[in-house]
Amino acid sequence: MKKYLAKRVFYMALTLFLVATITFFLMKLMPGTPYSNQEKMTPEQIQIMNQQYGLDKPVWMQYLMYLGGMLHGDMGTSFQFSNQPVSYLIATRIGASAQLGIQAMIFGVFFGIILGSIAAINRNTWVDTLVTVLSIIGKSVPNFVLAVLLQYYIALKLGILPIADWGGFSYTILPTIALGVGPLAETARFIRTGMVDVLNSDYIELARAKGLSKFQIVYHHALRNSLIPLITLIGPYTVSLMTGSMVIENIFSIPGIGEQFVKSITTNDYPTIMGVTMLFSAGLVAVILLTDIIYGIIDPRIRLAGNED
Amino acid sequence: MKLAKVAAAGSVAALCALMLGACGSKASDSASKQVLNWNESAELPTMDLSKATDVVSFDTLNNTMEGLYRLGKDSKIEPGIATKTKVSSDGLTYTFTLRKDDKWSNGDKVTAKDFVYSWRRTLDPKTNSQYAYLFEGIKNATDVMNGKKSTKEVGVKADGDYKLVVTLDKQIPYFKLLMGFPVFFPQNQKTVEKYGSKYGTASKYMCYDGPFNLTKWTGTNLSWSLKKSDNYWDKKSVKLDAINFKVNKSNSTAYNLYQSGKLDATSLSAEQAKQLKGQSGYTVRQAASAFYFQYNQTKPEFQNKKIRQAISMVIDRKEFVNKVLGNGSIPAKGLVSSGLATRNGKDFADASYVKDGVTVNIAKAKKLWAEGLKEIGKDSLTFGLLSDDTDIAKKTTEFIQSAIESNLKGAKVECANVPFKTRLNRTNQGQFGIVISAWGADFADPISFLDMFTSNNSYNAGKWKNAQYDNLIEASKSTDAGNAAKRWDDLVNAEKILIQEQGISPLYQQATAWMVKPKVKGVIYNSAGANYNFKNTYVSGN
Amino acid sequence: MEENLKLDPEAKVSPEDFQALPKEEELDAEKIAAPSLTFTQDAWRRLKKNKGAVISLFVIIVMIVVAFGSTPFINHDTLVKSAPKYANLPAKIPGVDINGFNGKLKQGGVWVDQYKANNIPEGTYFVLGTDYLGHSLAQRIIYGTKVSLIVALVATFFDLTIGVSYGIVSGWKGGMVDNVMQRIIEIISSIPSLVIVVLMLLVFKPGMTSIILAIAISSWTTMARMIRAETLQLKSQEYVLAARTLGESPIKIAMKHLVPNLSSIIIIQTMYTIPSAIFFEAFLSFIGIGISAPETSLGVLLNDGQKNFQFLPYQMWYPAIVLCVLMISFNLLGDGLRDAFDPKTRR
Repeated sequence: MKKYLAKRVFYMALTLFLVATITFFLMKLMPGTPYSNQEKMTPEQIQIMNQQYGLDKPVWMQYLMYLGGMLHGDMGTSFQFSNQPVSYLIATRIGASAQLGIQAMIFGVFFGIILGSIAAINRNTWVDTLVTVLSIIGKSVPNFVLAVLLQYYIALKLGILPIADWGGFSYTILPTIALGVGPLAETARFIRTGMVDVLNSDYIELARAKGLSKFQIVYHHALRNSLIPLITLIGPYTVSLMTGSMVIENIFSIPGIGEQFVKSITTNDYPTIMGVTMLFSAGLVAVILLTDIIYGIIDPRIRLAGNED
Repeated sequence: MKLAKVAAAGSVAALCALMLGACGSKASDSASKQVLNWNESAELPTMDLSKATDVVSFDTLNNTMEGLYRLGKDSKIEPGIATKTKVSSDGLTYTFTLRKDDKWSNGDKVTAKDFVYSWRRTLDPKTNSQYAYLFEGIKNATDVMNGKKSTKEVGVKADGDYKLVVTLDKQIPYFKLLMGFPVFFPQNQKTVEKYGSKYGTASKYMCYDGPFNLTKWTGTNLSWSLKKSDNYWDKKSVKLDAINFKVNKSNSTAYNLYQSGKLDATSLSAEQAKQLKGQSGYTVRQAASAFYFQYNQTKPEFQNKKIRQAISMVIDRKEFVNKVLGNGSIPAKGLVSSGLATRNGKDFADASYVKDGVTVNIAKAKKLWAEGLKEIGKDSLTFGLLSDDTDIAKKTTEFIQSAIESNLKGAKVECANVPFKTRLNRTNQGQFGIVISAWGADFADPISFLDMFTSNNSYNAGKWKNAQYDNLIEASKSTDAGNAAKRWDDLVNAEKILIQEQGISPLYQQATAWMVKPKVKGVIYNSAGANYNFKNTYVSGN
Repeated sequence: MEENLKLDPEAKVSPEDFQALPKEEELDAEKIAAPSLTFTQDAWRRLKKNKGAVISLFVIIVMIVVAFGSTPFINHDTLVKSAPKYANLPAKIPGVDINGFNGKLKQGGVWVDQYKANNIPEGTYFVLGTDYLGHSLAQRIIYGTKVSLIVALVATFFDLTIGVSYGIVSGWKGGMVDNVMQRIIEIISSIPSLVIVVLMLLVFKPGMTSIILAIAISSWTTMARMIRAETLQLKSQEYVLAARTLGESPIKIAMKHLVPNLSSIIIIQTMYTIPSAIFFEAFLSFIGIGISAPETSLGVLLNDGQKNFQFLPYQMWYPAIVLCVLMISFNLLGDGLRDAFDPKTRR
């Protein structure tokens, strides 16, 4: 186990390094400069600025300089927010996104498992169809449409929740729902499918024959076995939700990282692009490692290293 | 299963309780306190005036800092820190006498040295100021900016604490207007040096000398407040206690908040503006901006004047601004926007109006198009129409594409709506057929627009060349710079040539529609430079 | 004797009551009574039994026929023509007088006839209203459905080809191969797809090509990860072990044993790829690098509609309804297919 972990952590570092390298060079291929007043600056001024920021050096040199900075924990300063260190920008913006992402995932997975189980137990009845149709609608309505509807009807018309802004739990409810309906729908569908498979299998028949209660069967056997595909899904999903959804942050005026990230790409804010990408990537590889470990715990048949030959 | 259900029900109940709690505790905002809640559409990126580049920064600086002058209604110059201004007879030396009763928020007095320090700092290439070019014309400014001379050689000197002497290389007719722009405001050296790289990155790392002090801004958050300053020299005319800014990037969110009373003012999207036109509170803010076509005149088809004219003539600018934009934007009369500059009661835009160049005339357009195609020896023409990726830009290209393809036989338009940076890059590298460019004036003088289209100007991406035009612009800067009447005529004639030749085709002058609660009075909005001045704003009744 | 049985259950049954069958009538224990069907025939037979799936199939076929069949009538030339004087009119259907379908729109709580208010000549009808440039919304929805269907099909194609085979190979091979393949997926999913799209704008024009390539690069990774996870589980199942022991080739095992058993995961994941692809396209339009005018897609329409929801709710509702119907049909059909193909649900 220890050896396996050490190996995986080494691979994680390697992956992160490759992501950094590829993203850096791709990013440098994007047209334009990072200056927001580029339109009004003459080429001479732009050249002077480039010298100032070291952007006139060959790309590989800039890359080495960036890596050097990273090793010292320096992610550079943002161009959009002048003089603002990228680490500060991310630190102040990631909180809201992460909180929303986690809340949405908890909301989605919790209700998804409940709905999915109900559908599986009552399969091929109207309950099942209702859950199916609801979860399809949940997944097929884009979250920005749902957000607009929630904001208009619940917040403005009924006035029971704040319209937008960020300042306490009540402000997070509507965006959480808007974000969480997607994972809810997916969870419900995966749980339902997985559980129908499991409920048809021999060991469930055996459990039934042994006289276990319905709850015990569903909880101990069926649910556990339907979680495998779900876990694969949840990990990366959580990471991408946590790193922010531009659309939802926009509609609910949430100070998250998602919008900043999109903006940093369209404005060539190189250090911010790198910073957020690396954060996302680190989260992703960590979660994938975690998922692989959890597989082993849930299903002992899957050997951790996966090496049989 | 039952257990899970109970848990679910419990959590729903908890949610409801929280919702209600949140709802009950939020008391409605005070009725007639002198407080404004204002919507911003973007974050405040910096408060370092040497580095500011965007509208939000400039607006905030304009209300928290004080320069030599403050621009009042219609860009009228009102006293700021300068109490007396003496201009030498050759127009090259300005001597400002400063007031002695203005203080920084850290208690220091505002002196001439603060101006000298600020200007030198902005011009220092190490500062990376993107707006330093506005100093062009002040002695040695360009050389300092380009790193050829030391900052000490800039033509600005403090003569004692309360006298500022500025020397110019050449006359700048709009020099006083420039002094109302935040880039020319003073900075407190002690503060800049104390905070170093943190200076201007949060409200606490700053020092103010204007009507308001900035608070609650962490540098990256979506809300901040302006609080009335106690150190301001004219604090008795400042009526507002506070202005709370909130960033809502979605127009529909902002309007929802406006409706529920959480905001006193918000800008509207084009569609919202169309629906809300005529309602109480509907306000149009004109911007001194021009949206126009640049034709890529390195391509033979666009070297043909008739083709350029035909394309310009199929566009019904009136229908476009009224039906498509609907936000109070007005059809362009020319490149220089209406209401920017007047002389003897005549608006520059009217004086230089070339009706044929900006008016729809389908029949004539068809004729010109046919002739133009013949001249270049083609019977059809496909070209790209490059523009930004904003909502309005997309509507614009869609409308223009429709107008051209439905009226000009054999014309095919390929729209490319790309992010701003990509658009600029393609424009600069000449990778376009027609590009829709936009320009906003930094100060209220026609030269801010007309300077762009001289033959070798880097903004002239279409590479339109006209010797007569170049001569007129040059004359306005040199021989006629001291003669207001002649300079005016030079510029009027230059613009006439530009439009007659269709070197560019002006489309519209942008405006933004706002909903502002009628109780809000005395907001000063200028179409050029820093837009908002809240110094004399107040809330009346309810 | 019958009476006997009824009245007296305890009645004795004697050996004489039974008769031996003649030899030739003996049942063939080995014979299969049902007609022999191939795998697909069998699946099709079971699919037909599922009413929801059949209706969905019908709806999808109708949508495809209408969307693609409309090409001669709704194309660049029709879409490019705008009529700003007809802008933002609500639905008006001849002979229908229900608020919302008779040209009236609720404004400030009152239903106002927009056609009259804008001096539109009598006899002008737009079945689903118009957009901000006076285009018929019905036309745009049909065209948008076509574009969205293309995007969906492309994404599904890459999911099914690259995603499934990548996942199976990775899970089946295990060891170093798996390790490398998984790291590649991590890298691909870490690089912001937006950077890739912006780069593609340099090479291609904004439009279908860029979108399709962006989808090709990144859409299949989730599918590959799901498939790998399942494959890891399946390969230790008894029947796979048996097939291996019997010396079956890996490709045959994959096709005969793995794919059918993975089918439920594949189908569900595909059902989620479709909306994700459509939304990805909508997101690109949201930030301005999606389909370029005058073309449109359901995502673009929804995004435009969303912004005006307060005043012109129909501009969001109609495309949303079309998208929902399309999605529900795809999903119900997907469920039907899953039940039909998955050997585990064959009972």
